[in-house]
Amino acid sequence: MLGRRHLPRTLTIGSVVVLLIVVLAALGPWITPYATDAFAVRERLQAPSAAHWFGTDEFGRDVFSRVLAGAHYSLLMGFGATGISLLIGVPLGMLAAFHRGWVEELIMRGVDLLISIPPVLLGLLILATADPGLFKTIIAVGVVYVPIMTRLARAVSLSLLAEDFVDAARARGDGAVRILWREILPNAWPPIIVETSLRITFAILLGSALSFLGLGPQPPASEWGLMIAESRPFIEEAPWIGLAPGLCLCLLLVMVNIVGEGLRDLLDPRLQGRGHG
Amino acid sequence: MTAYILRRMLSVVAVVWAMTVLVFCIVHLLPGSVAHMILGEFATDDAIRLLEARLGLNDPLATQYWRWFSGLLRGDFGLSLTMERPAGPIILEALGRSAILAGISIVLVATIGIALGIHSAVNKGSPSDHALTLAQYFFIAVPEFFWCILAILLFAAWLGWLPATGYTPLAEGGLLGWGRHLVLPVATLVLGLIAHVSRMVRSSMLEALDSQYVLAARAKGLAERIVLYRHALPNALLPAITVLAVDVGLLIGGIVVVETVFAYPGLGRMLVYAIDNQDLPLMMGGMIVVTCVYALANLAADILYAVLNPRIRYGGAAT
Amino acid sequence: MPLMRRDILALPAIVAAASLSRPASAQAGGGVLRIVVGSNLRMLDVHKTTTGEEYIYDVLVFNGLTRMREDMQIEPDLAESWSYSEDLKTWTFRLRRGVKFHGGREMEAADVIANFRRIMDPETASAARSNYDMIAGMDAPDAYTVVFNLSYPYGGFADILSDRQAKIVPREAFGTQATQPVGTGPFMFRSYTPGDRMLLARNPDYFEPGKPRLDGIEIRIMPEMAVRVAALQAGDVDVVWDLGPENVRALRDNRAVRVESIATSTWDGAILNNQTGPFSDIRVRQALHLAVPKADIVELVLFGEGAPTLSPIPPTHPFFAGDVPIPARADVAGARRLLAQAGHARGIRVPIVVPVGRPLRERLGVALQQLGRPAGFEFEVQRVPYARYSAEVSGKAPIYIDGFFARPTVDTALYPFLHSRGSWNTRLWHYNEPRVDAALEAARLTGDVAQQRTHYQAMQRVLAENPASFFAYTMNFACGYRTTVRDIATHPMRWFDLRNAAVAS
Repeated sequence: MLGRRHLPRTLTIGSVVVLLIVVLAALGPWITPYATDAFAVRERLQAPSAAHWFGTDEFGRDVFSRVLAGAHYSLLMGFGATGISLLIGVPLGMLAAFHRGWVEELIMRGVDLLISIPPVLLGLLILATADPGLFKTIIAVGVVYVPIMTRLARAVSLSLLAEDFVDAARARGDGAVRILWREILPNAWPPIIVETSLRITFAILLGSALSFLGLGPQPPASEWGLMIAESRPFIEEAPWIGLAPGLCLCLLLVMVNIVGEGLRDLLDPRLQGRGHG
Repeated sequence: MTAYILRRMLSVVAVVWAMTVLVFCIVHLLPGSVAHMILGEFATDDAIRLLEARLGLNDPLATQYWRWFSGLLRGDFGLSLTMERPAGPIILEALGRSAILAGISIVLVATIGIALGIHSAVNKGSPSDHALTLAQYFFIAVPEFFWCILAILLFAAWLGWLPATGYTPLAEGGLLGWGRHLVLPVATLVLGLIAHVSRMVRSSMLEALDSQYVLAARAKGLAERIVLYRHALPNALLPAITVLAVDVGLLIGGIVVVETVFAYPGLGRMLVYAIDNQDLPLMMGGMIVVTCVYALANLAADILYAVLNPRIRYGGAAT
Repeated sequence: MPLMRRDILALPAIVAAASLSRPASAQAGGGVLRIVVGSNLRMLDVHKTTTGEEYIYDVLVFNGLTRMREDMQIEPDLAESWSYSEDLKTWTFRLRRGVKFHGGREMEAADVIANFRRIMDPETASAARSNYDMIAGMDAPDAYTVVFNLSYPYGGFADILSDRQAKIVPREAFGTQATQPVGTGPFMFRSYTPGDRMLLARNPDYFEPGKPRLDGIEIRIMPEMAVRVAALQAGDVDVVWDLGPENVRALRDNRAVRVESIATSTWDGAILNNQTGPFSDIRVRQALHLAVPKADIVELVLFGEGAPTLSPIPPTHPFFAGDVPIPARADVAGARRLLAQAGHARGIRVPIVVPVGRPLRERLGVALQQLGRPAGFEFEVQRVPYARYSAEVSGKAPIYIDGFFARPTVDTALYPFLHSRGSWNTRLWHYNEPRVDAALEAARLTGDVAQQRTHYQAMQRVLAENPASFFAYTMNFACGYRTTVRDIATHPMRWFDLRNAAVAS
């Protein structure tokens, strides 16, 4: 209910910016003014200028090009990881709601367990077992958020399962999969979409934090968290190396967050105040 | 009620136990060899076999697990592999220092976050509300590690001085010396969380202000102050408790980064050290302790919630 | 030329203890010196120490039989004099009398023997063990004399006794060294909080009268380089150990801070596996040297704070083969030709392992990755925690980045690494070149410095033809000091001699 009248405007702005970032990220590697990993010894640590909008780094690489080419990592981590948590979490949650009894116990106690590990630590643990890389980070972040999706999907499904149309389907003799797929899923979407859009922010944050700790894409990749981590020795001499990806990361997060909250207000005003990490 | 609390406590115990199994399994999946790690570059194959036998690394996993777990029950975390000193005191001392950091942060987050949230809700639509909303959007989105970079940049590069980093025990530095060292890490930790909490409080407060009983209280002609603080606020604070419990999890994540950057010798940094150096006893002990803390924080939140909210269904884990 | 080595054997056979007459007034009151380092000290048991941070502590709390000065000269420490037999196989050390372990009994010959037994015991797993494999037996004719019998002649024996781990602790206290270290050094261990700081206190009974001047030392641990530098500028610490090359430039203008950067023989490089994988072919190793100009690497990685080299012998050293050219420009065509001859006409795709959290070595990996590409080397950077190196990377990966600290003698810096039976050789590259073996053996056995020089230079020429690995550079060691700090010199072995140091309050 809050500010219904002006929220759609921020939603529009947010959506446009996010869309723009997505387009830039998709085109990124092809439209960079310089090659992202080309060294230029004589142009190292140069301040932002007309030739290098975000300056150059310790190898003389163009920071603007690297930031541009690195955008897709954050988006992949945000959307990819959330997608994974959706793909695993939603079916699990619906299954738990449908098969009450030991299936539910098993799933929900597993969820309790996973959710009781702080996200960064769970990510650290998962990544400690494998050599780091983009896709492993995405999977790790996705797994971290599976429990939240499972709980939500189960709660939504439980209330839907009590509805008349489900009883009707049962009376027709429909199987579990059919009922979940045809009757529950189409009706369970709105809260799940809302949660998903809010979740993306946290997935991007967690992914870039893991990457900052060295557990994401490997150099010379220009993932933003990694770029910030690598910029640390030069923070005094050439702050732009870290500031540029950092500010871009913040912009992306603010906009994704605005879109998420806008969607929530649009789709489900009652859910306000329930979003969490 | 008592039954509910008991059941929750039991589930905490179960979760922590399951966690010991999980951590043990994951840690033993880790690549690398413990004996290699200890003996270093010049280990002969014989020496490695000898050490593995001495450490019991060739025993069945179940035996190894039991040895470790029964040690835990006695409060024995084993010997740190890289430092050759008992892991227990290292973990507990680090925990104590992190607890100071986390405790102060959580108190600040709760008080400032709730106060700002109420302020926004009561003055909805005012310039200060708009400014706060804008700030919230921004602060939620800035990762801790970027705050750290910004803080270093601000102090080291632009101001040319730095608030103290590291840690001084209270007994040594006095209250002032002790407090000085907490300023930077705490500030970095709380910014995002305050934004998070105040945002939640604002919307639940608005919801409460719109509710039937507040309208009824107003209709009765009660003073606005009483309506706000007696009727709306308690209901608005309930969700804040859950949010705070969740924030403990975020805080633990933030602490890992903040402690490293600001040289604060707490549990987060110890864990990163243990993982980097494959110090298994430290790693496993640290993970268990963190899980316990997190589980207890959630337990406390649940109990508080139950106590404050008479309408809760004690029946079960609906979510 | 800070690395100029004394010609070991030209000195008289007996070295007298340096004069100890210092004014008695120079006592205590020197303040507490705060040194900041980057990583945790892991192991306090001196015989088992392995990191640069730990080595700082080693020389403060403990003593060896001999000591290395900043000019790389050897001087007496616990031994006040020594002599050796004609065949260089029997070395006799006479111990200083009245040296007390911290708060305890007097140090005697039996301690020295027990300590070396422990270092040489494989069970101890001391990183220094292989340095002393020439020791065949030890004897203590009396409480103040130790005789070492060597299995082969070794002219630099007194020199290598100054090395990091070769320190003497009470023989009954081996078991508690990791938690309650006790030595004979100028400073006593007070406390250690892992991850935070170590406190050392002045040893009032130190055997050199009037030393040390400092009341105590605080070694603080701050993982973030920018924070260490800021703490120095703010005066929160007095000394930053091991500045990054980028900080050396940034700090030079600061008036409250003095930066010292000195050449050392600490080197980094890409370790190439000579046994398996593409680099087992000599042409591929040669191609990499043609493809990547070392001068560019020094500029990119070290900002010039180091020098391209052929082997662990730094260009500042008199044994360096200055006549062997190190190409300043890439010869891409030549490199491609060699790769094609080796059967890699379409280039080589191989992962290059880089240690996590060591910015210079990470930069070296990225620089190689980029500079090697035009010639057809497609390196895929893979960061692995250093803790996993010994189990998974060392001696196994086809190419990885690593580096080694300066060693006390040229022989210890080369022989274990490049001789086909050297202890490090099999841990790194499995290099086997009879001409290098011959040169190393000849240099070890001769007492003549001119001849040693000839042998070592011949070895470098062979290495240029048949590279064992990519020795990228020897690097400078830089520290930052507040101007209030007196009488510390930056030591090429990356530690501090703080016996005379003081801080003005």
